[in-house]
Amino acid sequence: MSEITSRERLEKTLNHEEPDRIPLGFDAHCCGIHIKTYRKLREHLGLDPEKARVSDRIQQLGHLDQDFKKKINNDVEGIYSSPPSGWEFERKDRDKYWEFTDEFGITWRMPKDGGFYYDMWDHPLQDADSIKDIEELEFYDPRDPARFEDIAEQFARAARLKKAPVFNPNTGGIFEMALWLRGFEEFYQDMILNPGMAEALLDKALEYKKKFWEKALEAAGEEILVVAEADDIASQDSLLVSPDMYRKFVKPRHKELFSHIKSQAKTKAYIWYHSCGAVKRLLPDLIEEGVDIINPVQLSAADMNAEELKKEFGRDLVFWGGGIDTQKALPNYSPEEVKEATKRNIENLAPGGGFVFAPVHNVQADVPAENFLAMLEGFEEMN
Amino acid sequence: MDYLNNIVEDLQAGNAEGVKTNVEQALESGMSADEILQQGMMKAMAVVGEKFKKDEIFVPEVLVAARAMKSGMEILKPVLVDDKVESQGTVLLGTVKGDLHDIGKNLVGMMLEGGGFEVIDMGVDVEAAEFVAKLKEQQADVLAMSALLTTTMPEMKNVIDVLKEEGLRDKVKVIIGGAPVTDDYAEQIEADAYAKDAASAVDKVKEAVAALK
Repeated sequence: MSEITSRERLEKTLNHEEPDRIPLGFDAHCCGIHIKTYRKLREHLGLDPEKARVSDRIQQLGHLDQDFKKKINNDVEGIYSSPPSGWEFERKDRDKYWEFTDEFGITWRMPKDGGFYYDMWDHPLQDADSIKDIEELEFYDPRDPARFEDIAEQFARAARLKKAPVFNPNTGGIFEMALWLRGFEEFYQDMILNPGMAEALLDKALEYKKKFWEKALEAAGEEILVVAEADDIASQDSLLVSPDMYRKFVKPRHKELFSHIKSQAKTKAYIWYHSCGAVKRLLPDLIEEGVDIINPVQLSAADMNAEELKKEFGRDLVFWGGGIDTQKALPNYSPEEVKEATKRNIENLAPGGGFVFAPVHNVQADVPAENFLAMLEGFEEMN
Repeated sequence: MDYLNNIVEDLQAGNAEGVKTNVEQALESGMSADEILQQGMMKAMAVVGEKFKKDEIFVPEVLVAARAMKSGMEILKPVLVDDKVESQGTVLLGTVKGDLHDIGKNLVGMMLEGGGFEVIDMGVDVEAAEFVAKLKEQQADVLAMSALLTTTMPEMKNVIDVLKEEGLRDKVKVIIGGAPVTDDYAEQIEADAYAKDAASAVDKVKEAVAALK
């Protein structure tokens, strides 16, 4: 009997069946490794650390090379679109900071000394005071073929390697786009004081996304499997906005976007959805919207007990993440403790299938290589 | 006219115009600025804080309430100064070096102002030396530090160490917060308290200031 491929392993998991072993889900969105740690890991694994380069500038994640993914037996191939034509990354020197402006006109800064990531600094619609201001903001064409030039090739490579492709998003979800374009405090207030403006901006984000995925899915062809969208709707302790407000402003648009993606995909596409934080209260809504996979299962957030989540939502949702807490455990525990915690989480999340192993979030710069390897050891032992 | 009740209601609803008008009218009617502050603004913000803690309201509602409070304070503040009404205490606030996140910190600032405190917001990516210099200059009662990242959290300990070196640690209460921060961590780095959200921060600051007196 021939061995099951990574893609088949993931397909089984997505079908809520138990495959031969739990799939390993690095290289999906928010399942990355900070460049500093990635360099250390390559060295530990006997791979050339100098080869490491940054793929996600904002989060300063390492580009996970094939030799690394092979070494850890990763089952996933992340698929990434390119920037639109006419936009180029340009790093500016701003006193204490490195700065760049993204394709949407959002300015990001990273402290030169002691900085770990780029964070938002300025928002193009910060001073908007009418729907007209929102409508007038121009985006680079979401359907620009330059974005999708090598998508078919990336899918072909995944197919050659028999890996499971995850098509990663090129920016935040519609709610995040609105918050980032307008500025957090302004957009939150718009939702109460200027709901028309809030709706106009969410619509603009939705239109961008629909067009982007139309072309992206065309380029992906019949190899499509998982489509990732990331839209944070929760904080460590609670939701970012009330359930009613989420249902009024965001839910109908999420639903429209996810249905659109599923209808545009040439073969069955699973919706992979990321929101950090205490998201449990809205999981039934996400299921209703067509979400198939939830990431990251933030165990350290309020009311996010792995065992309970599995019991309540395990039939409807695949859990992608939750393998090890990244706030406390992975950076601070001893390797032995990391291994034990990893095994416990797997015991809670894996039975019955529907679980893809990944840490709760990107592996950060403060994680010792020994802890990462202990996590993998725990994972291997549970297989 | 029941100005104070109007202020309490308008503030919670985020009606900035309403708060401003009622503060103006209350002052014209001869009510003291201190009473308007205590029985109007602070009372309303306390309700907002309670509801936020209980998950009855969320960040957007707190922001519009704080905005309404600000519009009332613009009228009230000069009168409070003239009347020599003392604030509840002074809080130096900032996100630590290497960290540019500010929404949580801003919410803490707004809730503290709503609690009657003087807030000096130093912004984001604040170095230990900047905190120290400001503390010497302002003699704040409380230093409130924020960090959103596990990677920037250790900077809080560094600031506390610098405070010790400078002989300032006993003169100021240190309160910390941010997503990855916990009670244990506060204890470990010898901060005086950890506040899990903006509303709890007001309680913790009140306790800290009381302990100083």
